[in-house]
Amino acid sequence: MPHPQHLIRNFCIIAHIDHGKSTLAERLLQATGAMKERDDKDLTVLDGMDLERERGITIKAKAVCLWYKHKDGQLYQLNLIDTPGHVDFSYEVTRSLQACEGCLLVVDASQGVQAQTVANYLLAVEQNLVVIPTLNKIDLPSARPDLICAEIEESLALDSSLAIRASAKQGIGITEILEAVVERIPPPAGERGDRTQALIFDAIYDDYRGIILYIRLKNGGLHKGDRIRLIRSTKTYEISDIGRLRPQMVPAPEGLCAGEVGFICAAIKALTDVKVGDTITLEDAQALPLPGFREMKPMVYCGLYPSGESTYDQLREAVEKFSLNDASFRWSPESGGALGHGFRCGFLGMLHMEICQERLEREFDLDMVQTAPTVTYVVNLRGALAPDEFEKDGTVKPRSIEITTPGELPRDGYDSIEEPMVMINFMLPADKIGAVMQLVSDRRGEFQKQEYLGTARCVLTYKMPLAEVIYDLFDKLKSVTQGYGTMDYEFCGYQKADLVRVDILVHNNPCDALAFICHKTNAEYRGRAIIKALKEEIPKHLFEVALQAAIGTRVIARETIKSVGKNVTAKCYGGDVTRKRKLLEKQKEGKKRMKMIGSVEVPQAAFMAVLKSRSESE
Amino acid sequence: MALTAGMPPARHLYIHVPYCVAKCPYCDFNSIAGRDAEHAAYVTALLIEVQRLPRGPYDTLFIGGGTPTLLAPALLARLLSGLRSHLDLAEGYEWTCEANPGSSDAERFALMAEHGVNRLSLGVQSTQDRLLRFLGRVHSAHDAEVAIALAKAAVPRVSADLIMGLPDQGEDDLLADLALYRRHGLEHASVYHLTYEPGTEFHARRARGELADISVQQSRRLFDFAWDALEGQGLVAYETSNFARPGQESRHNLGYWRQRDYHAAGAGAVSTLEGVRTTREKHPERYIEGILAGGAAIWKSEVIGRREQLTEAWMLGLRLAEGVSVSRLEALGDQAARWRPLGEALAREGLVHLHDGRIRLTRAGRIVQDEVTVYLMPR
Ligand SMILES: Nc1nc2c(ncn2[C@@H]2O[C@H](COP(=O)(O)OP(=O)(O)OP(=O)(O)O)[C@@H](O)[C@H]2O)c(=O)[nH]1
Ligand SMILES: C[S@@+](CC[C@H](N)C(=O)[O-])C[C@H]1O[C@@H](n2cnc3c(N)ncnc32)[C@H](O)[C@@H]1O
Ligand code: SF4
Ligand SMILES: [Mg+2]
Repeated sequence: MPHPQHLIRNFCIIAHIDHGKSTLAERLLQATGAMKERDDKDLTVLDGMDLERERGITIKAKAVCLWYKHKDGQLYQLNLIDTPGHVDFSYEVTRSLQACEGCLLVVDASQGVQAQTVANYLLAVEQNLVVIPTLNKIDLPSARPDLICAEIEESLALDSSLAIRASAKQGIGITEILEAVVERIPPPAGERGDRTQALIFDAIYDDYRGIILYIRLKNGGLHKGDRIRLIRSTKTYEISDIGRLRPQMVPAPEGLCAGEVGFICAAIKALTDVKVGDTITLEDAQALPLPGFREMKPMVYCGLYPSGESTYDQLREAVEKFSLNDASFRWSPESGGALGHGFRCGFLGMLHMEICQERLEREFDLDMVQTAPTVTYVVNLRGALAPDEFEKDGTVKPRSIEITTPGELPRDGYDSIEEPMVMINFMLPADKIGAVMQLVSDRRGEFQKQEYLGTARCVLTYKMPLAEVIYDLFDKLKSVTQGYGTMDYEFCGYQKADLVRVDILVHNNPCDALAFICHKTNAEYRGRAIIKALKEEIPKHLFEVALQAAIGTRVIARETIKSVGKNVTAKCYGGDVTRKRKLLEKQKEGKKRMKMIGSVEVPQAAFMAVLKSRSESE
Repeated sequence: MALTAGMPPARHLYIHVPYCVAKCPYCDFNSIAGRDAEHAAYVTALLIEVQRLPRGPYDTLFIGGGTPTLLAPALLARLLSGLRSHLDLAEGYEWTCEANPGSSDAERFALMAEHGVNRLSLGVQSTQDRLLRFLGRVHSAHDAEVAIALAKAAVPRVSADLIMGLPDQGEDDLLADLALYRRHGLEHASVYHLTYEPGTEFHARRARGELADISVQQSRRLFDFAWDALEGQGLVAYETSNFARPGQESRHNLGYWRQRDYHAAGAGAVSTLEGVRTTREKHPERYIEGILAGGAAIWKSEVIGRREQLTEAWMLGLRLAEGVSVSRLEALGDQAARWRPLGEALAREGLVHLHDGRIRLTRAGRIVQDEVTVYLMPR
């Protein structure tokens, strides 16, 4: 017997990072018996990935099905999705919202409304979801619930009298939340009798079962044995497993109906067949596709190349499988000169980049070299010949190209470069305004406006080059505001700037992977910092290694790595050939994570040092 | 014989005699002191194994040790005549036997010459009695002088081994050692730098701080010194530690360095045939037992695939003055596109020469040959 539709509620938990979404979600699991009480309250079951536990943040949105006996005596099915708070994973939030009718907007009762509180709230409103404001952490001595309620009214225009006061840590307000979910969020619309439409909102590759799809049924129903069609790929499959997430996969012999959230397996192996956002329908009663997800445009790009024992083919397979589980990750093959063949990959931010790289290495047991991150630049080319390349008034229409790697910048000149700009909001305590303004003007920020949130906090708005934001602004903001400042930004178009490409030459070989584009006034400084970092990381060779940073043919920084104080290794008196070979192989093995740039062995750490040099360069 | 069937032909054969009077404190070779009573059975086992080998003809034969000259003359005669009757030697063959000055005499050398041995390699190690004592050798400097003279009288080619780089060895000591070759008109020299091999007494003493490596600078000086002195005598360094008047190189050892296949017989002896490297039981008792029981007394076998061959091509080829052949590398799948930029970087630094389709170490490169090898060889 399928569960009656009016007894289903779908909601997600959204908030700024660390405001307690996962902890709260876990409390809801415990309160409804989906999981046992545990002693260790700092480890959430929902943050199951190693990386999530290590960093204490949620990376992937996670769906769980709860059974809740309401005071009206009815048993409700609550499908909860816990989402990440960090801005780099906002695509997880966007997609989760599309599988729900309502959300809990969690606000830390001591931190108050922060940048992602606003951003995520606006996303929920865009989807017409019912929003239940929830003040969390009211147990904290520093909690200021009344003040924060005022903030909520002011900045979100939400009626704060509806806000629930809770403490995920102490289990306060949990029942109120469950009741509010049932009472305030509408049951899913959808018609069970209609042709089946199910939205794929996430997927993961499993070596044994093939691709597992996470779905939200909008209309109709799905059962084990059904022949389904993935509308976009037009492929058909037979459902071998279907069920709910509690959070582990529990089969649902009665199938899933309109309004429900769950998973299906259908022995899908071809990665290209599956796209998150696609619609599932039945083969013999096909329906129209649902609106999918808006594609995200990557903010940052970097190259990923196999190194050590890993091969291009292994990396390709990993990248393909991985992109299934991370719908905001973009990739395309590229050739990186000295680095051989690899992939140009796009990310939503630096944390996203870092996490993707680590997940790829861990989940697929790969060794990789990552090249310096860069934003997408628009390059206006010189000279145009075809008639359609002239404006009406006869002036030449500049032709332009988009580049995502410094290597693509034409060597024979161009008219101008434009860089992506963002509109960025900082939320901070009023006494930190001076420090933040200094920080931002050092990074070419243009002041837009300043607003107060009550008396103690304010919002600063700047227009800034994205390139200046991605490297280290977040960390720097945290440090100048002692952790109280938060930021949120949005792409706002391209703008011409005086940018140059700085080439890095390792022993006279230009290394594309190390080249970078930056503002002219910073070029020398950054060039020097990188050369210095490289000098520390590249081991001594049998010969002197020259390092240079150059703009065109003009060298702006140089360093030399002295050759090794040569050890006498000619002592060997022969003996066992195999033993000797193994010794040499072991020595060579020690150079596993090295990439050859011309004749120079460059350790992976050197490529990373280049990233590091940016944040330390001030 | 069933066991011979299908055994691939090779032009080189190594025969091992594992017995010594006493174990030298620096030595990690497969050698064992005493066990005189076992010698006869060992020779029997050796000859059984040799019988199973293809008859040849062999270009080179090498009897090494241990101390082959430790065998009693009658046993030595049995071994030599057994080898003669089971094996054919090619026209112009080279047959070397190692000899320890402590157990060399005219009778044994005459026996060897009589049976066809035409080259003797003497373990002199030093011309200074105090250093010989330090090395725990069973012979004196005088014994070595006598042994060389006897060897010269018995066979046409004589080589002597020296060890340099001892903690208490001065340049004048080494100079005196090197004078040996001119004094006796020897056409071949092996001069090894002392190494502390795991498992040896010296290794343990160094770990306890009783012995210490000489300084890197001193090692380099000694190398330069030895190379200059020997070349001055017309002995050319054709390998890292081996010097010869042109044409007098050890053809047997060249076979190893050029990666030729070779047969072997004896305890702990290693053969390499068609990509399989086989080591026999190291302990003579186990070896004898295995062979007498009709088996091959194999301790371990290792497949030397293309990768291993390639690494060895670099490792062994760079030891030789003639260097590594580019076409050999190519045949093993190592393309010039991979190693040439590396080779050129080292050439610019004067560490290697790239010439005539070969890569060779220069003198400066030879000092750091392991590092050069590791840098050039593929992963
Ligand atoms: N004092 C107190 N601490 C809480 C409460 N809820 C959560 N925390 C703590 O706040 C920190 C962040 O909690 P999480 O649940 O991981 O926060 P999150 O919103 O899921 O974080 P992201 O998923 O990374 O955005 C943890 O150290 C929790 O133990 C609460 O009610 N009171
Ligand atoms: C295989 S050994 C056997 C020679 C013979 N048993 C003898 O000692 O007279 C060949 C040569 O290797 C050299 N050798 C052996 N152990 C050495 C060590 N630890 N360091 C340097 N050379 C060594 C010696 O010069 C020795 O003569
Ligand atoms: S005589 Fe030669 S083989 Fe025997 S122990 Fe000494 S060095 Fe080793
Ligand atoms: Mg979380």
